[in-house]
Amino acid sequence: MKRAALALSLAVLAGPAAAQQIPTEVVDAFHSALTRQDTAGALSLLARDLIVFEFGLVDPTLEAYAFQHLPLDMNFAAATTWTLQTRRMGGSGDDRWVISTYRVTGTDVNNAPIDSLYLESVLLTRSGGNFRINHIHWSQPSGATPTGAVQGGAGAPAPAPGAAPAAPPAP
Amino acid sequence: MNKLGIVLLGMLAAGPVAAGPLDIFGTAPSEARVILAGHDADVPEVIPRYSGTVTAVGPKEGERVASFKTSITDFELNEVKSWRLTILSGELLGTPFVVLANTADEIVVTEEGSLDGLVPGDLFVVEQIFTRRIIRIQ
Repeated sequence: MKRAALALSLAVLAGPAAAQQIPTEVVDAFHSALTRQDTAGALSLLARDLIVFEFGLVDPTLEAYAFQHLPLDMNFAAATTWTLQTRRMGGSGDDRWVISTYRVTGTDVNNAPIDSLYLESVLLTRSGGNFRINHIHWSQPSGATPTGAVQGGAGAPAPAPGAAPAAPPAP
Repeated sequence: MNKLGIVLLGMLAAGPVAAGPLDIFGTAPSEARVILAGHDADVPEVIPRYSGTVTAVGPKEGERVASFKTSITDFELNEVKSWRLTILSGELLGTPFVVLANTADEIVVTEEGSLDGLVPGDLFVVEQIFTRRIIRIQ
């Protein structure tokens, strides 16, 4: 009997993420890829001219981000849960922005709880029919640990006592 | 270069940015200068990862390039066998492969992919994520 071998690579190598037409879906897909430790999937959602501002640091190129902070962001994504608190989107045509705030909870390396508010600004450009992220800016408001109930849905996150309101930064 | 593996070479503290205009557009990634951002140090490593630079490519085997030399020179033999390799720069940016075998400083990928287009200086990461391969014998 003639033998034939069929080799299939499955599942984990998800490959480039499916085409995302809605900018918010691209943002959510990026977070999902981080959580899944899907390096290729995350990269497929990023534009070649990506610049990342992350807590005061700069990754000036896609390569710099991929090499330096993407693995760390995947570690953080796996250790935490990002609950969307507020989101606005705008722009027109091929240029869009998505501004989100998240409550980020989890456990750190010392088993201490993580419970913080995160601000995220994402700029996207459509090229070849697909939106890709060309800028991410993550930061935290001062006093970013929420102490009370956080308004769900479209409500604004509750600022920590003495902290400035967690207004999304300008795009 | 030694293993990076999120060991973060040159763990420089995120100190104040130098005075003057920020040069945010011209800086190439530097393996020796991974600076922790905000939350980076707060959580454990999820999976083992090694990041490095391609130092030589090939040789070409028929129509495909299956191996490259790395800046990492202290891999254990087949330490990263079956791990996922992703190219992080250049023509193959974002392309995943599966490691077939490795020596101290060389990585060979499985027959499903070709490293054609890889050049010295390209960046890569190998991660302990396994890919299921189903071999059907008829």
